Amino acid sequence: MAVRLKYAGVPADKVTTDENVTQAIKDTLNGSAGAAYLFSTYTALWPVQKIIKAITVEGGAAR
Amino acid sequence: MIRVCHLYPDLLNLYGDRGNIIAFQQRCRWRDLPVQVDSLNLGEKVDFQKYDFVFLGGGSDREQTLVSVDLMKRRDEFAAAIEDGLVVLAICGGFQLLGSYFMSRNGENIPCLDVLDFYTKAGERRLVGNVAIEVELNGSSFKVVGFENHSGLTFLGNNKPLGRVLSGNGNNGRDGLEGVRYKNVFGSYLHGPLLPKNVRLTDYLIGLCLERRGIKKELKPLDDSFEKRACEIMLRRMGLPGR
Repeated sequence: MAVRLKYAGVPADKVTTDENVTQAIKDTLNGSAGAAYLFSTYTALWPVQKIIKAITVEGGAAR
Repeated sequence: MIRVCHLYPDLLNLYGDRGNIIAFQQRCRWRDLPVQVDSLNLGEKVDFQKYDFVFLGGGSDREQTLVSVDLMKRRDEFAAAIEDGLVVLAICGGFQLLGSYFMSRNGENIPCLDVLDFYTKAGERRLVGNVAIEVELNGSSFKVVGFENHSGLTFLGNNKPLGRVLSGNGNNGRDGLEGVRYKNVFGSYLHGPLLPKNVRLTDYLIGLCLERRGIKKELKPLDDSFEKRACEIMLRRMGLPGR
């Protein structure tokens, strides 16, 4: 996704990357921002869906 | 000015193949190389000689048939431009179209453009998944990653492959070859899209376009840390060492 954003014109210094997708999603959900948008590349689509499902099963809130 | 022709963007664009055009365009812009992208749709006029780079993406059977009929009408002009050094990148269905024919499951030979020496035949199962290949350009080799999803099995004649399969299936899952290379034409099954994550290949294509115009210029280095990391992560997922 970082590559996709870069080629869409988003400055590289505005992008941070995290290889631990589960932790990244949890951190985002626990973040202070009012709204968070989750976009997935095709490669990450199913793993991300699994992670979100697992988080939902955990009780709806990120832990 | 580098002139790019995107063939049938509305019909041939699987798995973000358009990203190849974006990557090519952006890497030119970031180096202050003027670039212009034109789209060619069904029935529109085109003069291949005025272009430096032509891109053909992948599509479903229906789209490929429509494109094939249209492109056949321009076959001779396209073939002449290829012989003249036109830089071409063709992905998946677009790659198959460059060959001699496509043999369907019932044994019928559907003619293709016949500008390169290979053929494709319908396979029994789809070849799907991540792919890594070893590509050699200008005497040095490097790894290229992508994603394949095709049932057509391609068999090369006298043309060289783009690379050798390290992981995945490639052209047919049997001979360890992926894609095709002839003069400045590159065919591949690799979606992903191919160029953003494999910037060495992208820059090579840009270099060929400049060279064809008689411009000898070292490309300005760019910060490719995101691209390299993305490529390395994919290689790691396939159990392969980095570049």
